[in-house]
Amino acid sequence: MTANVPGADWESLPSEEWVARLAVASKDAESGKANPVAFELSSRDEAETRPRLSVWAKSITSYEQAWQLMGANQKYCFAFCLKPSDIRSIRPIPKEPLAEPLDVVWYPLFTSTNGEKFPDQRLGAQGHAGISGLKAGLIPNKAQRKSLRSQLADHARVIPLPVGEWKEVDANHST
Amino acid sequence: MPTLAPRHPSSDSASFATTSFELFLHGPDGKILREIQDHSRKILEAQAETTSERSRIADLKRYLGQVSSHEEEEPLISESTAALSLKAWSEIWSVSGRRLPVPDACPGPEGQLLYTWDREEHHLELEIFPDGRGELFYRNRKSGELWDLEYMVEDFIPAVIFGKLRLFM
Repeated sequence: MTANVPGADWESLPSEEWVARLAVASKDAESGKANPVAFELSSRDEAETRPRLSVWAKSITSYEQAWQLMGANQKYCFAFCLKPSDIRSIRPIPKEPLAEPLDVVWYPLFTSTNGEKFPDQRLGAQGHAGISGLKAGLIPNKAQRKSLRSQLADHARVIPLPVGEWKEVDANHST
Repeated sequence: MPTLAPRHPSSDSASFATTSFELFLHGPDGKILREIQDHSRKILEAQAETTSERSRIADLKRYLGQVSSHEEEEPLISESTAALSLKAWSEIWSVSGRRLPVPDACPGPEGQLLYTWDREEHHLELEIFPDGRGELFYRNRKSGELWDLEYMVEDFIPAVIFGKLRLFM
């Protein structure tokens, strides 16, 4: 079952939905193997109490829409696609000490006007989701964190994106 | 120069010397000839691998140049991290007796560079951080065996990693 409409903030995505993580090209990107570093949170993400690694629900957001929403940057020229059921099946190695399990949850985007927050109305914005459980501070040791990202990479299907054919559209273009 | 192509021994006495040489070369079952052919094939394959490896090293240098280039608005890694990464690769390659394949490489969100090697169930990472740290991480996909080690790229690579590198050669 896929999601035709997004759920509430932190609600889990259906297991059969595909989510896409946009990524920069590695040296051997054409080999079809995802690089684990694409599943690393940035220090800005890490500063949040419960960060989520940004992904897009494919039944709601197209690759091109996701690319536009990420600033139409040519460097994001690959999509790493995973199923929530696969992500949830991943366990850190070693299993002890215990860590928070990975999940894929809705992660609504907002815009701000005069200090007031509104749901982001841009095309595809509703499909924003996030992988939770990757925060370094919540994973007891470094080996466990690296084991998680390398397993995420193993599960990913790599899709090259035709970003050269895409043009940046007006950022305010909305649904 | 005698040909190495297989021939049937001739009963003609004028060609006795050639026939004797070919008999020696081929043996009753052509074993020697096959060994020479196998050896030649291995030399050609080794030469091809060397050429391919040289090309992959050039690709790595080019990639590190691209991701640290100031022609981009925001380089994905700094020039110093690119240089450090190249040094790290060069040293780990030397430690392996120049037999470790050229890795995949990709910049991370904190200006680090991640090298990865994959061979069947074996996965190896070397992550180079702008502060000079190198982090090695090995995972066996089948057994779940894990191994990791942190070192400073400017220092010597710990010799204990050689055993792990052999899994990828």
